[in-house]
Amino acid sequence: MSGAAGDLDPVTLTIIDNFLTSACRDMGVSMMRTAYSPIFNESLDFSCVAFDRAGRMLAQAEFCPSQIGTIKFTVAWTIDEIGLDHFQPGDVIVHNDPYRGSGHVPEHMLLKPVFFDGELFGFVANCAHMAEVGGKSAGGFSGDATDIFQEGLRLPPVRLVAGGEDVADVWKIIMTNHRTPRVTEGDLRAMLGSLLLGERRLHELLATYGKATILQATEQLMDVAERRMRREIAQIPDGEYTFEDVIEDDGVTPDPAVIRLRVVVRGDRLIADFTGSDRQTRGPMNAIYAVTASAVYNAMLSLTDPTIPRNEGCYRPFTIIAPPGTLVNAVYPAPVVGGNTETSPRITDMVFAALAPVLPERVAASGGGTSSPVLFGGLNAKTGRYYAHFHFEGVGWGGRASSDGNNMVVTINGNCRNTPVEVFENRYPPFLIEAYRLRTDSGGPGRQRGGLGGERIFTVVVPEIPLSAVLNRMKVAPWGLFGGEEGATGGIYIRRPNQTDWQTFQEAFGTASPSKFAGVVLRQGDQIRLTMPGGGGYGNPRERPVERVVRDVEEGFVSREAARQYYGVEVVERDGGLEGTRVTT
Amino acid sequence: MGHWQEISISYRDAGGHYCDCCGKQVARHLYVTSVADAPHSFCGPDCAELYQWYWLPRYGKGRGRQGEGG
Repeated sequence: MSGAAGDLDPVTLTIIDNFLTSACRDMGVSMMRTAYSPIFNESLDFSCVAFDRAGRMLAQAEFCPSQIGTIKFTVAWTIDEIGLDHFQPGDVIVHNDPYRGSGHVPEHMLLKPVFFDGELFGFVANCAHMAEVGGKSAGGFSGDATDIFQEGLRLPPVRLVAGGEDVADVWKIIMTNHRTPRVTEGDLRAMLGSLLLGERRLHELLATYGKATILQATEQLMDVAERRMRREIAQIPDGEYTFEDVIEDDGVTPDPAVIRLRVVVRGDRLIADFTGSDRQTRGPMNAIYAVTASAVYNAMLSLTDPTIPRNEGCYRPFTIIAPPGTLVNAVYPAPVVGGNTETSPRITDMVFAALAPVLPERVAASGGGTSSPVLFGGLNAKTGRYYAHFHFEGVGWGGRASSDGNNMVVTINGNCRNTPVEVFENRYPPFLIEAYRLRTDSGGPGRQRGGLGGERIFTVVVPEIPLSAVLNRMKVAPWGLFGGEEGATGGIYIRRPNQTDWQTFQEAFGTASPSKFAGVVLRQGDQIRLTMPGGGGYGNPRERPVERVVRDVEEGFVSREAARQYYGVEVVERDGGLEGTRVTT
Repeated sequence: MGHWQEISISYRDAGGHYCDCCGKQVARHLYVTSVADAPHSFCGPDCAELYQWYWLPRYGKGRGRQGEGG
């Protein structure tokens, strides 16, 4: 790090940077431990961030990448709409409106101004996926929604707390519109507690070093992050790199929607240009601008030095161009709930694919590409209370130059975890989980194999339960790279008590899409089978060492048939173990 | 040289104001300037500059505006 006269020394800068990051981590742990919903305390579908008074990100913790990218926009919007002079000590703003920069309706952002010595220093904020938000179906995920109003209660930036006191009118509006008011309140209180902790940490930092030093340090840290990110981009050869992919259907019409990406590298600047992408979809697969930008950031932060400080500076070299009215920048009142869970990971994968020719050692083949939103909600007969849940499932991640793709991990935009079976069955009465396993042969064959998707079978054990889903990569397989093969597509199926075969929801219920629907009522004894896509393979599978193919067969990751067909390896039993022989070149 | 313009917004106004270059929706402040003898509004000076060296030579006037995707 080169220092100008008067600059703070690198040791002090590093300590302050780590303190800020640590404060954000503390905020997250607080939320995890105090929230009511498994989507908070098991899945960790939230993010915690600190900002300066200009709305510039100072630090973040490693929670949900899609929220970390979008919260930049949500916070900037909130400050601009409310006006800097109108924040008071003890205020907390709530905001979840996608047409004001929020990722989608379930994503609630809480923003608290932090004052020090009587002056506004900055803000602490968190963003979290609320399990229930009202709307047409539980959780706000209507796979067949045709406008934003079906996706739940939208809150423009308004005070949830003013001067340290609850704004009762706003709480009443939220509690009246959510199906699970008790849980919503518990989760919002967890978010508020997290903000108080973040505020306390910033006060500690300011008291230790003084405001002038912290202001200087944060300016320097943003400049350092910008310089280092620009250096990374400058190492990519100047040029234009393109890729196209599709969202296979939108839940309302069967037609695929095309996303077109052109990555332009000019010196130390990178432009992700989505001009030419299809118009916004009728169904809920649209991303708003912040989601698209966040997905690009997610890709670029994955491709560059992970030690670059994660603050405003590291985002400065990137420009995202997304024409309004397209599925990468939807305009009011289009439905958008799936944009943040489905279109987002598609865009991240597309950036990898576009840059694959120039960054072959860093990119990965396509991941399973769905956040697997499967949601349900109903009345608990024992408690008389409504419950709602967003079920995460793991997909396979794409193979990469250095390793196979991860097995059964929630997709790249979420960095979330699934809900353990024990918690799931204990908290939610409608389902018994009959099976939970890796899908053999779902990973795309490759020198580095794609990760395996998961499979789960649920049995309905209550009289009825409405189910919604917004799933992708069920028709169009995750692509491989450099000769790697496609990963397997996924699916969601139903089997009635008197049936032996599994049916798609289209076959059983006449839904417009086999994988996107809302509030389909299941009955006691029905079984649901959820299969998740695998990741694409990387490199020619016939270059995979024989011993690794044998190991895959031993583990049950790859069948003997696939070993022969894709890897050219005959696996046979010998002396109580397995032995492989290359049978083709 | 452009200038910042505050948008008069109402809670009854459901539409949005979008940057002529990057497409980002802006909350309250637009950067207004003239490019190629035509008035344009951007999310900031950086996009005004980008519009001149990247957008115009590539797409020409008026392409890629709202609803013209694809």
